Amino acid sequence: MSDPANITLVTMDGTTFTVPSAYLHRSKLVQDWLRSEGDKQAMEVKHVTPFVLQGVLNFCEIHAEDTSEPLADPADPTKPFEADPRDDAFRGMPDDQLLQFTMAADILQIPELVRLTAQEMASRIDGKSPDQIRAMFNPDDLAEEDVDSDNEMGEVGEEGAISK
Amino acid sequence: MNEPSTTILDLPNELMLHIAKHLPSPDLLAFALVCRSWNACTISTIDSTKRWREPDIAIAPLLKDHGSWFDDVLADAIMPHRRRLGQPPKHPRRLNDHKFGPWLRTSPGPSTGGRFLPHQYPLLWTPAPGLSRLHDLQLASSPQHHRELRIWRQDIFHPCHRPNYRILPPNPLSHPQPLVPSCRIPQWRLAHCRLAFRPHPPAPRATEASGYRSTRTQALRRTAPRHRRQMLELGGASAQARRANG
Repeated sequence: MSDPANITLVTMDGTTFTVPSAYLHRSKLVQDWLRSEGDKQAMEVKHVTPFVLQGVLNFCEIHAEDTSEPLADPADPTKPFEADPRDDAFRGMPDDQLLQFTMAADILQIPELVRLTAQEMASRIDGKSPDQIRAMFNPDDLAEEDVDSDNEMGEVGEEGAISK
Repeated sequence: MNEPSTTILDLPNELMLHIAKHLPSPDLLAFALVCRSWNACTISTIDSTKRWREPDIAIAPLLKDHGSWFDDVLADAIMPHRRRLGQPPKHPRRLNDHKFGPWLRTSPGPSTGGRFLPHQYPLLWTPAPGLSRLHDLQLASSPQHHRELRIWRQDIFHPCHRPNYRILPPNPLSHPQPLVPSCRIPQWRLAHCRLAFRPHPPAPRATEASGYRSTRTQALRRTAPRHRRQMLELGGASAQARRANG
């Protein structure tokens, strides 16, 4: 049985990270896992690379002593976003790493990190054209099945609302 | 280890929404245009920010090229149930038919034979008690409101509300009659109003001085062939000549 004071995370390639549970008290995914399956040895964090998980754990370690209440909605407009100088390392990373951190924050359900990465992505998108945004975040070409089939739109539900 | 490449299209819907909420309108549209090629339904959720409708001149050049898709995004955002079902967005010109149903069309469709069905024409009346006309239009799509309308219609045709209980109106469910929108009185009420009937004026009395001819002669003049009419004319002329000579 794992130590309740520490938690072990396993990434997609089998790399393990053992950190204090207090670091991840803002992660809803980890808290739910501790409540339901806390007696297991380690928690698997699929789709997250070791590099990204290390960065996420660094963020959690930095903000472990924060006394502010956890964010309910990362995009809550009523709460203004204040840049924290401790997070400058996350703002200077390349675009592809920022995307991976954004996805990892969403997987681990850390609202503060989601807000930070979303704000940083929005600031990079600001003022860019669609082509420039594609060049930044979408290097791959689209697959054929990803393109919407606009021909069939409107045919569904043409008379669906008619009653009797 | 070869790490898988992550693109902006791999982000889940909620995360795209978080990013979109930090963007002003032109950049929001540019961001949506990028994700459109992946899934227009996904990015249309950013309409919850209500920043699509802000007038912004900077949007105009983008709308020039992508205006039709912009309409689709708006239509899809208005109909979240289609988004939940994963169906493609629908064009706004078909929005009213889908959302409100056929009973709010300005004219009955051809499927009903050109007339309003019983469940359609109550909206031509005055609004239901406690509801304004606008509320009628807005709530017409809910099943709860349909039930209220049905109860309200039964209340209208309740016997206690009839002006004359001895007159049985036709069953509105089996014989729907068009109503008069101006006065909003059913046709069956107008038909039983005695003031609505006025006797015809008396016909003028027919005399010989007014050129009266017998009915038989008139009918003969109308129906007889040409030579028969000529014989009648000649006969009349010879009798006048005999009368003058004699």
